[in-house]
Amino acid sequence: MLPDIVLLFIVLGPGLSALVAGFGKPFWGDRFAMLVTTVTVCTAGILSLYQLFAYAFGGNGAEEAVHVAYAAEAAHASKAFDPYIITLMNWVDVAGFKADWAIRVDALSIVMMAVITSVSGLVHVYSWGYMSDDPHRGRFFTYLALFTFTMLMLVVADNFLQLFFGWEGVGLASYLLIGFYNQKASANDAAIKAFVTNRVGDFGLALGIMGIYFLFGSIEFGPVLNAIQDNAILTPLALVEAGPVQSLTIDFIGLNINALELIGVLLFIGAMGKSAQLFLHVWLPDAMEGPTPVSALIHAATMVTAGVYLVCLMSPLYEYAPGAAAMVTVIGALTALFAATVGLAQNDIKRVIAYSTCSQLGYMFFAAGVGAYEAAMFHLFTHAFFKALLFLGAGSVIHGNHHEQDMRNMGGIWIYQKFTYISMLIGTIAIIGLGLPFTKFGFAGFFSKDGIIESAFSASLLGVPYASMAFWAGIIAALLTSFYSWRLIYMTFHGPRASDIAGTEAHAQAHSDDAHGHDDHHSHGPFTPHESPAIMLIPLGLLALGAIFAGVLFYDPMFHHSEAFWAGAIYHSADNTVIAGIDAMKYKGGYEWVFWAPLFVTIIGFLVASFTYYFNRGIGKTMADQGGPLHSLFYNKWYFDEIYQASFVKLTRGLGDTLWKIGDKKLIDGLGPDGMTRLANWGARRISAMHTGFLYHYAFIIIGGVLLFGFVFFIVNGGTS
Amino acid sequence: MDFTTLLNGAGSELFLAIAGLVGLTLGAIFRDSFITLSYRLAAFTLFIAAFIAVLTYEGGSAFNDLIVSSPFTNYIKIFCYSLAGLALLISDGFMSRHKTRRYEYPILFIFSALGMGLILSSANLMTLYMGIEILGLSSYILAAFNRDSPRSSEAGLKYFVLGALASGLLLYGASLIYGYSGSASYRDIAEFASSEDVSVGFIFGLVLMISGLAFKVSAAPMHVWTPDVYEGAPTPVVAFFATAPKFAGMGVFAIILFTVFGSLIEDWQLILVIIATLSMLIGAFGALAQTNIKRLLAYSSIANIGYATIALSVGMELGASPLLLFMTIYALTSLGLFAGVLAMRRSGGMVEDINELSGLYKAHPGLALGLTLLLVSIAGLPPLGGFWPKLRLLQISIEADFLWLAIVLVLSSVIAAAYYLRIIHVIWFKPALEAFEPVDRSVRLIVLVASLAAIGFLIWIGQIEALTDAAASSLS
Repeated sequence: MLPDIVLLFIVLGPGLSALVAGFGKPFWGDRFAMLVTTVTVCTAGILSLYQLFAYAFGGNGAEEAVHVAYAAEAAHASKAFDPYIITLMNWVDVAGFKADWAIRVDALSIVMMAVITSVSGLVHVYSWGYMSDDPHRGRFFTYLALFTFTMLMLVVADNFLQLFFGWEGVGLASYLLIGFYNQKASANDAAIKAFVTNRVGDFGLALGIMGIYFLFGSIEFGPVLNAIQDNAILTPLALVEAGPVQSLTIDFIGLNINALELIGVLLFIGAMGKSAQLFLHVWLPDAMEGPTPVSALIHAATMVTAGVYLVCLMSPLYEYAPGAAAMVTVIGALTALFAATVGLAQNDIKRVIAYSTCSQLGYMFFAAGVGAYEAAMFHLFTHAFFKALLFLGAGSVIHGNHHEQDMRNMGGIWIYQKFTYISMLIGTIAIIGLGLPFTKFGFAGFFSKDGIIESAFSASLLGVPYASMAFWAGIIAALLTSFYSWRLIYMTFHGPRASDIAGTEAHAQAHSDDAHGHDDHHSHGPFTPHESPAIMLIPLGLLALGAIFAGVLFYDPMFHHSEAFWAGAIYHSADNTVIAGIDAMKYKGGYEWVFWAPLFVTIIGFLVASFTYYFNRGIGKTMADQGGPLHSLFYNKWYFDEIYQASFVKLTRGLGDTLWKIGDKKLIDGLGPDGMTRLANWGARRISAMHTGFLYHYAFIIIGGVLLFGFVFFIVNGGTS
Repeated sequence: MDFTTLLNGAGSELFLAIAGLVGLTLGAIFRDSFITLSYRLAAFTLFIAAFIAVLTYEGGSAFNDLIVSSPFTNYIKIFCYSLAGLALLISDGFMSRHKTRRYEYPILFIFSALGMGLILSSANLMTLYMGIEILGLSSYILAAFNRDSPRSSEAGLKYFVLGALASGLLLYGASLIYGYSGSASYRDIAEFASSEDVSVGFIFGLVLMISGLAFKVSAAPMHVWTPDVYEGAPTPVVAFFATAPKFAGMGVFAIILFTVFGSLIEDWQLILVIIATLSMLIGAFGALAQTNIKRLLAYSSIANIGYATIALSVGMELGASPLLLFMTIYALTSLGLFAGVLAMRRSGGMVEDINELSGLYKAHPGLALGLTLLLVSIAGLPPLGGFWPKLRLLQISIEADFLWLAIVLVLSSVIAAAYYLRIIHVIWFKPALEAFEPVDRSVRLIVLVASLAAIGFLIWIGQIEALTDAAASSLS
């Protein structure tokens, strides 16, 4: 483990650099801001990668880890949640409500720190090239560093309050970065949409945290998670009778339900918002309005995985909340499938990848839902590399094609951007999960995604609810993934140049159609794509390494024999033998087809894509032009936006209108401020009128007053004394 | 009766009486050449009298118990004398500009102060009436002092006629009380009041006395003279009327109700509640429609007297100390505000419309800031001085189960805040009209002192409260 001071630097360094860059920018310029943030975040990235390797393979890590893992074969980790914590500062300490600023170091936070800082560092470097002609690049880098800091605060929290701080902080940074091109109305709309949608999720999260406080009297992870594991007898603060925690029930909107289930569902609603799961996913595709490096960092590799992280962190809770876990499984599986179908029909290169992200997050969630938290975290880890690679590659394409994002206007550019092409190819192979079952040959996605699919099957054998549904959803989504990934490659890099066929009109036409044209710095017209500068290609190369090797390197420590690695951080109940079950399937026969199925569907997807988009290039376009019901359903993203617009947005607006015009203007203002003012003015006029200035009026009033007093006195006394 | 006891019991009153007579003689001899000196000397005299009250703070009795002073009366006297002195200081410039600078003016201040001292220290209905008449007669003349101005004369006359009515009520009440109890001494009356022989006539005498005193402190519905007199009388005189006699009057009210008729609290309590309610409401609503700043401040003083009456109506244990506390800060703030009115002088002379304050912040930023502080304080906004006594009043009215009073107190404070804020709005945000004339140094000084007091109250509220608690505990 790294010394405290280094950990402190990893977590706080980016935050400080954001401050220095943000406030120093006006004095020392954009270059200063870029340099400070990039150097800090890259250093933090190297340090935390070192930490990850040391933890996984280092002296006291590797041998012991493997050793313990074999010894504890098929056993469950029942170690208490007792991570190494550096307390930085007291934050809140009122009665039982205690929250510190802290750095929690366990397997979960080590993995997350490595992912966040390394991808962030590469994105910083990449942005030097990508944002080189942007007048506000200093601000951009400040936001990036701020994001990195808040995300780190989120993952190293040792209590829910700091987690919530980070959670909202990344939301803020995401909002700022989506709306970075703030002269564009669509970017502002997208930023607001992301923010508002996340509000819904955050509401769930906040309720969940409050529920936890009511139940446990604490919002620190240690007491909460250990109480769940030990099934401790609790005396909740409110709402609930005392009893063992796993069987407490709570009254919620008129239902009497298990308290852990309720909290699990609420927390998962928070996770759905942040991780763009079905129903709350609508903001993610629109978030592509932000600069492409942002999409790579925030909306692919890190922030959107916060929900997965939360569910894995709360593994003890979900272990004993089967209903909530089933919800995680179902939503995850549906998202994986749904997003993949939408990805089939999109034409904007970034949107395809965005839906792919959505779909991959679905995979992670259903893995966590069926109890294979390791699989979820492992996929989170590998996915960060190849998805960042895909996004940065797409950014390189966009950069090289003068901010063109519509794939229909690309084609044939592999000649001009060979390095980008190869990187994208590696990313694609990684995401479709190409690899040879029963061996260790494969790209990153092969290990992690197949791990998830196998976990789902293994869980279905154990009778985990909806696990078999998740398994089939995973298989079908894998087929679709393969198809849309290759479609992207073919449409972008192969075939004839679009501008050669249709000339400039198509290009200009597409541009005016597509509201997501990047910016207006470039004149449109025939152009030759060019390869991006080296500063953008180096991060691509490094990420490509990650996309190739992250899986094979970490398969054993993170997934296969992961007892020692995750010890204490991820909890399994006694009957959760999902991971161990995979080996049983592998070596005891009868289930070989499960391992081959992903490869099989992937190849089918590849062949179909090749057939329609490579050998018969017109077919895809014809299908799209015919606009069959299925295509329009996918193309229009299952009409989610339209449905939300017609229901929630209209309803809310109507309600707001009514409340404003009748409730506020007429009732509250009318009877409140306005009415009171009228009353006061009326009273003032009456009183003034009483003071006529005539002496005899005054004398009359005084005498009247005396009589009044006398009268009152007689009433009080009843004339008795 | 040796000299020390005499001095302890009535030192300041004796001093004022002698000083007033000497001043009158000097004035008769030296006439106009005495004028400038008379202003200075009289102010000095008033401060010395206040100092004597400090020296003889513990008090004593004199003239066969016709006069009895205590820390309670001396506390009030210190403020009354000082306030009269300060009001005299800001008069000089005004009176000389209005060509009414006469040596009688400061001497009338001295006699008013003497009247206040007497009514506070009196332990006998006769002394009380004498004091009230000394104070009243001086006041009538002061109100009409600018006798060439019809408004001033009218104000004086109205005050005089209505004052005579009130005196009549008071005297009638006093004679009823004397008639039933057989004594004019407070102590005997108090004894009688707690006996079984209390009859309707006796209490009706009390009701009449309450009415007469309510007139003096301009509590509703005996307040009717206030707006007219305040509007017509010379501004420094109004500054005096609104502060010292009000404080003294409330003190006398407290002494009579708490000590003399304390055992009959159930009989007079409801009347006081009515007075408080009416005063608060009339003060709040009345001021809202005013455009003349002096009339506005008149209504504001009615409302504030209403607040103070809450302290009276809850009885001695709860009310005595908050009464002193409230009147102290009210009197100081009021004086500062009237000094602010004196600053409203443009090339054509004094102006009194609220809108004429516009642009004050440009011409006299320090003064504008001071007035703003004072207005915020008197509106009762935390954390300035005016907030704390109001909070105490709210507290005691709830403790005494007069929820109704608490509600009216808050409501009327809200309405009052509206017109105080309106003045602040005019001072800072209305476009400037023509230029202001320079402001007298004494006026600046008073505004500074008053606004410092408003801030000082915030800081030393604990010590001041300890002082008023001690003074109040001497009342029995």
